[in-house]
Amino acid sequence: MKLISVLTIICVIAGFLLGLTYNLTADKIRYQEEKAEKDALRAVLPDASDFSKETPASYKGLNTEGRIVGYAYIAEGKGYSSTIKVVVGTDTEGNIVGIKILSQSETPGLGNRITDPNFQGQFSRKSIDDVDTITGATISSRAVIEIVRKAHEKGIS
Amino acid sequence: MKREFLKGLVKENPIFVIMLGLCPTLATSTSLNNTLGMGLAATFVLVFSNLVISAVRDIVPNKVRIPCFIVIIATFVTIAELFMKAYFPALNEALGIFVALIVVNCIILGRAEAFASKHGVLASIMDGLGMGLGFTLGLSFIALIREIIGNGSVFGIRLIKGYEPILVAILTPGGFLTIGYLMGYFKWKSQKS
Repeated sequence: MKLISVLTIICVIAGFLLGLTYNLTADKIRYQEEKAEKDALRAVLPDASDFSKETPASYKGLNTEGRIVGYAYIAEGKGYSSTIKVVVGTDTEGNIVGIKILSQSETPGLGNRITDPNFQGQFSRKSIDDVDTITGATISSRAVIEIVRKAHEKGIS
Repeated sequence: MKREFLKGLVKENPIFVIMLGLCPTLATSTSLNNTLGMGLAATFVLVFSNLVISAVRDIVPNKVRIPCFIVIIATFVTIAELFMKAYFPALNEALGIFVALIVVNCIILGRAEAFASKHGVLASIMDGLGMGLGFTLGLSFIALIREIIGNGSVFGIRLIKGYEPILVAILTPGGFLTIGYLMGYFKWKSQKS
């Protein structure tokens, strides 16, 4: 009987402390997540000063006059060792103007080079089929290419 | 009291001597930025769980001590993780699942079983601080070597321009090699004295 009551009391106190901490940090955590998303949107659509959320995964980028300067789509897919989340920015005609990796946990030094500006910069200069993969990180690179392709196709439809 | 703190630094260093917590050590010792964050989080959990476990050591019946310890440890890890998500999101992203895995870091349960459940609160706090600091120092020492060789940088700052990093140092085999050599060195030093 003592076994059950001691363990239960400890769990109850633990639950209370966790609930308290959760409440204390919930707002700041939400702020950080929104900030990360905003920063990524600004990185792919630098001309936009404001963003309007169309669906949970797509945004319209507006300039200071309220005119649409582009669109941004958030997509994710399976990488080599993690889920890769990417934000893809397009102009009003549907051409990709830039991508930004939002989150990934690929192999350090190899797969995580998908976050290098050199790799990400290719998407605005070349067509998706001409993007070069990173040596030693084929799977991670191909994953990003497919995620971008999927997001792009979904977006322009 | 001072002895309880100092022993975790070198003589009973959790990584090189007691050899606990090697899995997160291997995984997070690839960059100095990560090791400081990981070490601090683990120390926070270690100190507070040692404190609480020592405080309740006379109340907790022997048969349920492990579940009780785990609940206490997991609570502090979750608190640490929530704080990281709120105030250090970049570090949280870098450490990934290894923050949550601090729950099963053998150093923490190990010290709870071996020390905190059998000693007073102040001694347990000192033990936690010493072990945590020893873990952080050991982690950072390994990361210093691995980051310089495997990435040519220290705390993310490139050292020598044009140095082609030896990637294997920041991958798993490099981790095993580095830790193995360091353990051998410490063992040799302790046998000499």
